[in-house]
Amino acid sequence: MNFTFAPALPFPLLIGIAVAIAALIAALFWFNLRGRFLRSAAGILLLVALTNPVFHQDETQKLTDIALIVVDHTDSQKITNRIAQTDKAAADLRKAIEQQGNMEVRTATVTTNLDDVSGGTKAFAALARAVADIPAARFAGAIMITDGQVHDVPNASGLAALKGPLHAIITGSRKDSDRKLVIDHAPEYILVGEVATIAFHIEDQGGNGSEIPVVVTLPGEDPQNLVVKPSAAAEVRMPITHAGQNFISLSAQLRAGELSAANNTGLAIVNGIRDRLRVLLVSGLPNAGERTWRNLLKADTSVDLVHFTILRPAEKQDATPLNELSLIAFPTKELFVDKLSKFDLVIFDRYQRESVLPDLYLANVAEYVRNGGALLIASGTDFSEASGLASTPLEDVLAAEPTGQVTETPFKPKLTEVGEKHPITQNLKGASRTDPKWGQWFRVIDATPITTDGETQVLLEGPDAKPLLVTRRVGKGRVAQLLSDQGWLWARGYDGGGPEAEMLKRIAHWTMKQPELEEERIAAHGQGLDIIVDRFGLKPNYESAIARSPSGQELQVPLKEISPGHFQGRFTPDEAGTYSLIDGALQAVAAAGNGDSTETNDLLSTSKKLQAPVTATGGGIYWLEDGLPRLTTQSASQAYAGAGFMALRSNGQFKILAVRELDLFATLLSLASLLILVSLMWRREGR
Amino acid sequence: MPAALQTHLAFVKLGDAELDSESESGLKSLSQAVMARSSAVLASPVGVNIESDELVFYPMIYWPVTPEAERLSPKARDNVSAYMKNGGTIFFDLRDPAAQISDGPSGTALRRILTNIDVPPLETIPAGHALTKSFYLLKDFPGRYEGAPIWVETSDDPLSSGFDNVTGLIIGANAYAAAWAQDERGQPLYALVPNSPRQREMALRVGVNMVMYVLTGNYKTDQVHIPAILERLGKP
Repeated sequence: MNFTFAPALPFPLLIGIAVAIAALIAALFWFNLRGRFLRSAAGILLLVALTNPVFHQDETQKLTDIALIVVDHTDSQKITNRIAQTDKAAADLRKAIEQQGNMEVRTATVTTNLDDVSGGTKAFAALARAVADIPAARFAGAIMITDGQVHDVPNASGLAALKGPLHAIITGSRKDSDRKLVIDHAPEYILVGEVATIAFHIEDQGGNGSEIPVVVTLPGEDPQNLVVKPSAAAEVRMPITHAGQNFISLSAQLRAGELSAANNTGLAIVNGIRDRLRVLLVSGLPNAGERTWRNLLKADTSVDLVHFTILRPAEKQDATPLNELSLIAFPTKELFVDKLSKFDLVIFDRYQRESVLPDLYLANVAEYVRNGGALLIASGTDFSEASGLASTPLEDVLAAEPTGQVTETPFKPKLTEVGEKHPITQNLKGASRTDPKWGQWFRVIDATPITTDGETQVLLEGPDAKPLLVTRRVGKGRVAQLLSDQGWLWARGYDGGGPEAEMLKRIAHWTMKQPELEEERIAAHGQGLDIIVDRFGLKPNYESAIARSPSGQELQVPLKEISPGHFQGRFTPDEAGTYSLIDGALQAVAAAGNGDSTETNDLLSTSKKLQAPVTATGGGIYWLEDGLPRLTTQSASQAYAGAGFMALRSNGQFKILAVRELDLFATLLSLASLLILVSLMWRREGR
Repeated sequence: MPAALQTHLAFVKLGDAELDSESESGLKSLSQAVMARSSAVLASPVGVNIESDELVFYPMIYWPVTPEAERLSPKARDNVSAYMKNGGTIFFDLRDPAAQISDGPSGTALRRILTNIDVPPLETIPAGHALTKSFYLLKDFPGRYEGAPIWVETSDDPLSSGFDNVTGLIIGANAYAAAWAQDERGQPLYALVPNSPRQREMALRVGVNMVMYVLTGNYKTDQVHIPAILERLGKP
């Protein structure tokens, strides 16, 4: 409430009038004139009226203070009952704050952002966004309800702008315990045939220090079991026998009562690469197709080719002096006995029994296959003959056995039903089950697949559905047989040619177990916010695959056939991190959005990370397991926290709704009082 | 049924009965020698019409060059180019030991034949070339005559690198088919000049090496690397 003056006349004139009135009043009293009091009062009143005093009155309203609750709903909060704890605490706090009266509550929720590359809980970013909407003068403080695993803690100066305390309520329990396996180092690339050493350790928070069993698995290899001490550096050595991605999974045994199983397993992805491909090519005789093998193998500089051609069979030896012949004795014993296992691939091209390779050597080749070797046999009429490979110890590992017949007629190789789905023949340029777009061949060696148990597959067929390309898994190894010697016609471009090089390359790499050429395989990749699952296989149908989330939740992903042998599904992950896609023994991994391992890495609740920022604002940290602290308010201060209580800042702000102004002498009352005075004066004089 | 089922040597039919017969009997005798001495299996040689026949089946085409040879028709030229581009080898025989590939009646005739055909750089056969050791060890390349060298593509030619560096062109001048040719009783059909000792045997060895070379490529030159590869394979 206050006055101001808004005189109607200029100030000097007002002074003049005041002086004149003062002189008149002085004269009245000096001469002790009648009615001097009334006249003086009227004069003063007139002067006051001329100065026009204005009386102001503000109409105000008390303003609410605004408190902010930041709720952590990120992945690390999703374990045990933390989310329920958090939500209940938020509701209770809201009630407590509202009971303070004159206090308003806003809530900001932090979730895991699948798009965020850096990952983690961005609680301070959420706080900053919410605070930006609150007038600084009314901000009462912020309360975070979180497990304390916050990954964007600012430094103290970053919080200087916060005009109120920051408190933290920590969910979970100080007694929570968790076992975590951390991979410290795994090679990204390693040569096939070498051993990958993976360094890791186990953090056993809340454990009793006893040794922990660990299982290490790599599909296709025997699992390894080891026992490690908590926190001690440990190593596991895993032989890498496959080119391409190898998923090595290390799992520490679960402990009863630990928070999460998800971080007990670490996944190392090691890419197997071949330094040099060692190929042993045995040509039974110089033939038209021989050079296509050489063209293929010599064109690749990473291939070490040992080529062995039987140029002169024993029975054709003549009297030509050896120094006129270029027939070097081949180190057959070294190749077929001592060093056979060092080869990645052995190819027999139109070979039949020759004395230079005794049965013992061929038995070694069969053994090499059973032990995991790769064998490719391309046959001509030699295969149908009595001295063909089927008459040698190699017979045991053959994919097809000859009937003794040879069919000679023009035909175009066709895909079989399996061939249409098989990675060797699938999508070969020109391939078709009915109308292939590639050149003709003229001969097929009649043969029947050796087994019908699914281990032997016919991928290409010739006239009358005669098998042309047959594959077989034998023991740990693989065999592929091409039952024609006409492939070179494709390479030479006859009748339009065909993808001979590509086909031979795929056959060779399938026998060498290249992961991308496995019949049954699963692959996954991220696309936007989704994960796409590709399932390839020879079966008629694949209904679904299992997606295992970083927290260990499993979900079924339905699959749909998009082309023969290729089924696909997609899903939108709701957790960040690495998802495993599983179908039986097959596994693939794909990262959801950011692959947020930050979030699932550390699951134990902690008050440590938030201590500094909370202290900087004068706030406090409270464990929810101790119960919610008593809530009070206080005016601006350095400290807002104490044992068992937390305070919010009371700002005492109010809002001016309207301002009333009263011109005192403009009112009827002031006019009336002036009139009364003047009329009283008049009456006095009239007496 | 095309000639794809068996391996045949081929010769270019020139329409000159005597010359075609010389080529055919030469290749026939060579095929027999190859069969008798090595494990390669060759069916009887085929005379091809360079313009209209499919050439792709033949690992090597023997092409006697006469001074009267004319330019090829566009169709024949395309046929020859495609054959060489897909890894085939043509053996031109100038049949005149004095012939030069850059000069003289036969050389000029050869250049006429090769007009507008992509001919890679040539060189006289270098020491150690696979042709000199694909079966026999050879220093000279005699035919019915002696003395003329053999020209091949340079080994660093990018065109042949995709084909195991096998030359698409062999050019000789010693009248090879005539040296190889024998009748049914194994008697030579043509006299050799100068008929030095073992000249016929050596001419046959040149032929055997050529056949082995077109079938096995640089197989023999590879063998020098085998000890190093075995060394890399390490101890068993």
